[in-house]
Amino acid sequence: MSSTFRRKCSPPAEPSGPEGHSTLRIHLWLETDEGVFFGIGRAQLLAKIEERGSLKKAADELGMSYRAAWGKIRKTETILGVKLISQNDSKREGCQLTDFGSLLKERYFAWFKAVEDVAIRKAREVFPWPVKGYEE
Amino acid sequence: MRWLPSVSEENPTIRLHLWLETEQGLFLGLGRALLLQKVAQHGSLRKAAQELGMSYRAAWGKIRKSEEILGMKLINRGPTKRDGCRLTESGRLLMESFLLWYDTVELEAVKRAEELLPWDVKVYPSNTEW
Repeated sequence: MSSTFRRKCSPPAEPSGPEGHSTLRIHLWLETDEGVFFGIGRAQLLAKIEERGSLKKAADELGMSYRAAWGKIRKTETILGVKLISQNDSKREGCQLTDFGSLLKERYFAWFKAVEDVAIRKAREVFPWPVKGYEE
Repeated sequence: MRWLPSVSEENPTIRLHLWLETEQGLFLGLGRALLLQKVAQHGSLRKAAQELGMSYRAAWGKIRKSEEILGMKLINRGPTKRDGCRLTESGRLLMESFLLWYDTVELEAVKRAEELLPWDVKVYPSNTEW
């Protein structure tokens, strides 16, 4: 199909297709009737918590309020019925991912990457103009 | 691999949005591909828009924006308004290419989710309606 496309739409002197870079965008998330329970936002939040050891610092760094960050985590925990983070005894400073939280984050990133790789590879086959990934 | 009890009573749904953009914005996504598909089906942009629950004006604006960014015509209008319109060859190939691409990526998303995630997943129904 793509070679037909090239022949019919792209006169050799002036290839048609968008000017400048064509960027592939992808959103990939999981939901139930109760709404979104996991996507890139939550995966990034978990990654920051792991890095910083603090929900507050993670939220700050991602430009969201502590309340919003906590709300997202709690919503996912409620839908899944499993804890994603565990708080240390010393109040709100300090928390870490549970084993499940850590595994879910890793698996989500792996899933996203696998899907994105196929999307880019296939886009380059199917469309007659150059396509790049969002972060390339 | 199932490393967790299932999510409440139902399986999670995979949601996927996939689109192409330039600095000028989105020029090809599922919405646009379905619009082109409906135009091909009905020979009318008005009917296509209606069926997708958008105004004629909005539908026409989307098509025109894609045409501008791509530098190619996607639909041809007949000599009079009553003649309706049809896809150009480029429009048809673009629509088919997008739907093929989307399908492939969605299949991969389901396949990899089954390997990597602890739940059985299902696909959002409107993704596969064509």
